[in-house]
Parts: sequence; structure tokens; C-alpha cells
Amino acid sequence: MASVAEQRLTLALEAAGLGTWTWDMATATTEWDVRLEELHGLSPGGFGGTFDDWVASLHPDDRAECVRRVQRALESPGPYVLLHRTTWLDGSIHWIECRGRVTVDDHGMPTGTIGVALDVTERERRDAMVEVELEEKHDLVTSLQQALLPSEIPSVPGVRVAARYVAAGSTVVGGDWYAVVPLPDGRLGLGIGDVAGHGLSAVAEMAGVRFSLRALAMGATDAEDVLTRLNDAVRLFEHDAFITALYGIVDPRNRVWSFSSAGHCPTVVRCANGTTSLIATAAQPPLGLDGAYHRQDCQLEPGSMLVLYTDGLIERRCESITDGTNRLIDVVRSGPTDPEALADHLLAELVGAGAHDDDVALLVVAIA
Amino acid sequence: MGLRMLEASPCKDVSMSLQWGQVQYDVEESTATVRATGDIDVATAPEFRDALYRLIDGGEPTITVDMGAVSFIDSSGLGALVAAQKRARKQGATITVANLTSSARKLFEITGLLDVFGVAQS
Repeated sequence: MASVAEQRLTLALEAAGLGTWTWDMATATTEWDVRLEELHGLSPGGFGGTFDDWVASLHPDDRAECVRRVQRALESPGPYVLLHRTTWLDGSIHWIECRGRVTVDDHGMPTGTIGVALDVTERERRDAMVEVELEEKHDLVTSLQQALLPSEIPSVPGVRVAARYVAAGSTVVGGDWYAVVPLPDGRLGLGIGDVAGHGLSAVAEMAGVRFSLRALAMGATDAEDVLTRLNDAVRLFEHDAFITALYGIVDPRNRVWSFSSAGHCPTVVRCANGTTSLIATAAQPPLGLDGAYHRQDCQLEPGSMLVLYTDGLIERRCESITDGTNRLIDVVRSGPTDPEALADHLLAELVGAGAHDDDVALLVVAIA
Repeated sequence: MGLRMLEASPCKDVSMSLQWGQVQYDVEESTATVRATGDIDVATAPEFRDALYRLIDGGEPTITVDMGAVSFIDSSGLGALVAAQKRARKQGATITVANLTSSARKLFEITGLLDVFGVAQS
């Protein structure tokens, strides 16, 4: 007759769906209860009864790790946990989690193990699905971003452009963007901007702004018209977003850079002799507020380079934006003169491989 | 005194790379002054914006955001302020910012926001 305590234990094990085992090293026998046999797809009495029979029941890929863990537990007797798969006779794979403890004799020497085991197939399946879903979501956002920011850049004679986009911390995509628009009159339109935030909503807002700018740029001859009309579109369609943008038109014939900025970081210019500075930029608010935008014209020398960027390139949490801007100017000054090489140099020096807070968009423009 | 802690948000577990943010704000009701402390960034900006929205919707005609104790503000933080300003203007109210640190002031200057928030040009 089982004691009350034993009956209670049996009830608890049944209710929790737990199987139990006892391994006795002296007699080289392993006892499984019927529930543990059930967890392995065996009928009552179907388990062979030795340590080797247990090892044989493990999924081939999990055997070495499980045996290693049991050996380690025997070396320093205490509790241990195993998570492994087992293949039923019908070919289905089941996940089992075992919580075991090493039994010892009066001298503290191990005599075997006892423990309980639980089927965790559903939990493992759910975890795997969540992981796949997260991965798919990230892939979707990343490929959307890549489709929106093509690496193939249109050009016009006399102007070479290199473009880069880097996601924050290499995983979180954001709302930074660039656009390069060849104009029918031989000039080249260059736009860059930042939609605040991360993830799909920022990318979607970015796409709206970028396509609007491209369409407006093709139909307008003046940078201030483009930005003023882009602002109208933003006020209508993207009213909750915070968007800075800079749009300019470079004319390869007279080297005039004609631009307008909506609260965006000022452009860096490097002259052929290496002199590097910020282009003084009139402060105008970000897109989405009332008002019109004004244009500035800037005469460039032959062999000049322009660097258009978003704040991720200069912003550091623990320093002022002035320090970040000065560092950018230094790196541009000492960098290579080929636009592609300078773009790579800037990212290597200023973004690096570590985790950075913000995404970065970058246009490097060389004027002949 | 009408000094009341509105909310204090702990570090937001938005993603592994976005965990620094922490912002607190006290609201002094008699003068409708919001005193922000800490970081206003991509993790904390939505809460900060919602706190401002509540004040605006409560009918305050002029709201002052005291930025003296803000250690960091990024474009999301600026976005929260701009969104609140747009909402305020629709309701005939206005938001001004005060006590900008020199680095925050630089950021407001570059982004053309000094005028928008009634900060005198230096």
C-alpha cells in the first residue's frame, strides 16, 4: 500500500506530465516510470533499462552533449538540466527537458542520478517560430530599405557621386535617405534627409518623402521650390513625422551649388587645395511646419568635393555636435580624393564596426 | 506647491542597441513648466511627447519646457517637441523652451528650431 506522501507525489507528477528516472551505477540499471516511457513514444516496459539504452534513445546530434553534461555532473555532484530531442518510432521528433540530480553515498561518491523529465516540444516550436518571424521581419525591412536606396547612382558628365547607407548597430534600419536626380538641363539634383525613428514606420515615411522629392525635383529648376513644395506634401501626408532634408542642384558647367536646407546638417566642402569647411547654411526649420524655404548659391572651385550626410555620422551621446562636426571636417580634409574611396574612409573612421545609435546616409560628390 | 511627478520611465527595452534612454519630467502646474531630466531619444521621446500632449489637451495656453537638465536629445526628441508644438498651435497654444544647454542650443540652431520655440537668437 503506497503511503499518502507517495500518492501525493504520483498525483503531482501525473498532473504535470512529468516522467521520472533512477539510474543506479552499482547495478548498471536505469528505471523509467511509464510516463517517461510515454514521453519517448514507448509502451509500458518498452525501455531497455540501461544507461546505454538511454543514450540510444537520444537524437544522434544531442548524444555527445548530454553524456558530457552527465559526466560533468558526476564529477561535481549536484543538479543539472538537459534539453534534448528524441525520435519516436513513428519518426516524429520530440523535445525533452530533464532536471536531474546526482545521488551520492556516505562518502560523497556518486552512485547514480535521479530526476524528472518533461515534453517541451510545443515551447521549442513556439520559440523557433518567434525567431523565424523576427528574422523575416528584419529581412523584410532591410530589403525594403535596400530597394528604396539603390546603390547604383545616376550621374551627369562632370560630377561623380558615391552614396552609402548604414543601419544603426547593423540591425536597426531607420529613416535616413538620399536621392540623386539627373535634371534635363544637365545639372544634378542631390537630396539627403532624416526621418526620425526606427523600423518599418520610419522606412515607410522615408519612402513617401523620398519619392515626393524625386518627382518634385524632376519638374522644378530651383532648390527652394522643391523644398517648399516638399514641405506642403509633408504637411498633408506625413504630419506626425520629424523630417530634416537638404536639397541642392550642382551645375557642372559653372560649378554653382544651389541649395536649401530644412533643418538639416550643413554640407562639408573640400577645395582642390585641401581646405575643408562647412558651408554656412541659413537656419530653416524641419519639414512639416508653416512657411517657405529660401535658396543659397555657392560658387565651387574646380576639383571641389561636397559631403552631404545625416546626423548619425557626427552625433555621439557624450559629446557636443560641434565636436562631432569638427571631427568630420578633419576626416574629410585628410581623406582620399576619389568619391567612392572617401565615402568608405568616412564610414570606417566615423562609424566603425561597433554599435552606433543612429543610421547614416551619406553622399560624396566630386566636381570636375 | 503644485510640483507633481508625472512619470518616471525606466530604461526602455526597445532593442539591444537602444537601452540608454531615461527621461523624467516634473510639471509645475501654476506656471505650466515641464522640467525634463535625462535623455530624450528614440526610446523615451514618445512618452515625453504624450506628456506634452496631455498638458496641451488640458487647455494650457503657454507651456514652457525647461531643458536645463536634459543630458542628451536626438532627432526623435526634437520630433517630440515639434509634434507637440504643431498640436499646440492648432489649439491656439504655444510651447517655448528655456535653459538650453550649449550643445542642445547648437542642435536647435542647426535644425532651425530656435524661432519655432521662441528662443532668442544669440
